[in-house]
Amino acid sequence: MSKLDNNPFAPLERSEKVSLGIEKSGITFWKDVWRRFKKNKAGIVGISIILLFGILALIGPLMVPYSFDEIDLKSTYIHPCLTHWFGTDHLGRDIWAEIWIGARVSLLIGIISALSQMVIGIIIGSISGICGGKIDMLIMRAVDILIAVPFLIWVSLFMLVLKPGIQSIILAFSITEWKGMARLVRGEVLRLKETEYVLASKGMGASTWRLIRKHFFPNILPLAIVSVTFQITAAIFGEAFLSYIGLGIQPPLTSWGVLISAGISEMRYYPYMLFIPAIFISLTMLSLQLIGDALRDATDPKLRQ
Amino acid sequence: MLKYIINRVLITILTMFVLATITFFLLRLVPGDPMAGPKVTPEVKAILRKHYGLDKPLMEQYFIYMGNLMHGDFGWSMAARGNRVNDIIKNAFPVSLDLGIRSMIVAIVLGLFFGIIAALNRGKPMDYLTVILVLIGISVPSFVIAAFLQYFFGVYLHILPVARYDTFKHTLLPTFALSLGTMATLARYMRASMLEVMMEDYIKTAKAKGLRRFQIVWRHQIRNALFPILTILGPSIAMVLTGSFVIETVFAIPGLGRFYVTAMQNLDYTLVIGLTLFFGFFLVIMNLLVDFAYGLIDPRIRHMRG
Repeated sequence: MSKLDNNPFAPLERSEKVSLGIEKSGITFWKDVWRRFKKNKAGIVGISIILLFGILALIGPLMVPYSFDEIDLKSTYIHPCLTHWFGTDHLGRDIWAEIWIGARVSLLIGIISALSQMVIGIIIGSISGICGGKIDMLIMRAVDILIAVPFLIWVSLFMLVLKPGIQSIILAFSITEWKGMARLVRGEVLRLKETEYVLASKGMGASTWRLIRKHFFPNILPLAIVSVTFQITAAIFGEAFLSYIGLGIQPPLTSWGVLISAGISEMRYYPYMLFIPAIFISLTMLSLQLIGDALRDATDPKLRQ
Repeated sequence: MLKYIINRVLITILTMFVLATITFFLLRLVPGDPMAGPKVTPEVKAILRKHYGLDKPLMEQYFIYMGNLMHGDFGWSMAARGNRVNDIIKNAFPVSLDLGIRSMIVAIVLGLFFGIIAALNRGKPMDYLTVILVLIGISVPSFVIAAFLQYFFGVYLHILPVARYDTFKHTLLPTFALSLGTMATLARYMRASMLEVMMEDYIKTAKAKGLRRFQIVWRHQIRNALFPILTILGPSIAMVLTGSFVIETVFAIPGLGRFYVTAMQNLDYTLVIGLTLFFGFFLVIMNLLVDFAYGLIDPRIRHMRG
């Protein structure tokens, strides 16, 4: 006791022991999310399937001695068998190789366009929410116009102007599909602006940049990531639709959309050509849906026990 | 309320104007020529270009187009020569509308039904079955579903026609294929909404009063759970409309969606602009109506002045 009385307000010295002790008791937000995500079986199944498809997209085409664009007119329409695991199509191309090259294209389009939509949406939405006034009104009118027409119409219009290909599809999705994210971010910024801790932070002289970095961004990120998983499915579907109507990926390159539309025209006599790509695209969309649902539950503070 | 309506209508007009301008200039950027064809000689092409006014300066074309648009005239189709865009819309819209209304009815009735059943049997087999159905409906793309239906009922069982849109039998597969996605979304929202309402105090009160289960579910739970569902009706209409592009193409139904897809493949400028504007206009009006309906039903909005 006497020791304490000597210097009651002496600062506690920073030692490794003290900081370690603090680190142990605390848990970061993302660790907590992962802890809760792990408990969701459906989410784990989803993420395993996506990882498996991702790996197979990288190594799958190398596992067979055929190239995806190798035309062999002597072995057309072979049903799935030991030499051709998923059979061959009307030009004798190996469908296993085509599926995984298609997976590369479809997943790439889905992920990159969802991420670029997220970045554009966060930037525009934050500008709209933080600046307010006329800028906000202008941006919101632009969003209204984009929303007035379904995204497939916008994307097809842009695809008419651009040269068909992976880059154009990603570009078309990015220009037209940031509206949802921008709205979400704007609403969240407006809500956060009213909270007491942001007011307190402002009262202590925090700059707008600091508010963005310390308060807005960390709060928006979980919402944005959840919505990105759903945007990936939208982009994969969009690509399939564009390829189906002939505005998407052009041969010799392939994608799941291209394979499905080829399958639809051949389904009468060679139904495996439709079923195989259809199963892969559906499983992917399902997995992303499960991951999105699990992430939403895991990041929602209301559900935290 | 009146001020709100006028404001909304003005924004709608502005939206349509900007939409028309964007689509007009966007399509002039498209590489390729709607008049191209093996039998079209340069002389014929020049005559055609003159006929459609494509020889005039771009700005003049724009003002002529917008002037005609003010009178509700979308001009002549460039690929389906001799047809006015207005006539194409007039002929194709009833087909699309018919398919759309059928699908909306099926989606709403079955979607709400499955949502209610799942919520009432929470955690039981019926609930899991619904959740699986919902996941399939959300994750399988509509043209895959359409193709499967064609294969199973048309090619394999031989009981339903796989193309055209003439008799009631023709409508069955497209209606189901088009409604599945919306049905799944509605079922999902309805289930969540029912479960949320179940926790409310007035349900407890109703139980305490000793009402029969049917009365509690019907009078209190379902009625209140339906309310948030109204907000997703607007997006559902858009979903059905977009879905119709695919479904009409797969089933060869002569509706607006199929014309839109072929117009894009043929670079039919006027038809593409006309249909884009028509779709935009239709959706904006629909959303306006849904908003007003929402305002009429919700007493909090109904009694708001300003």
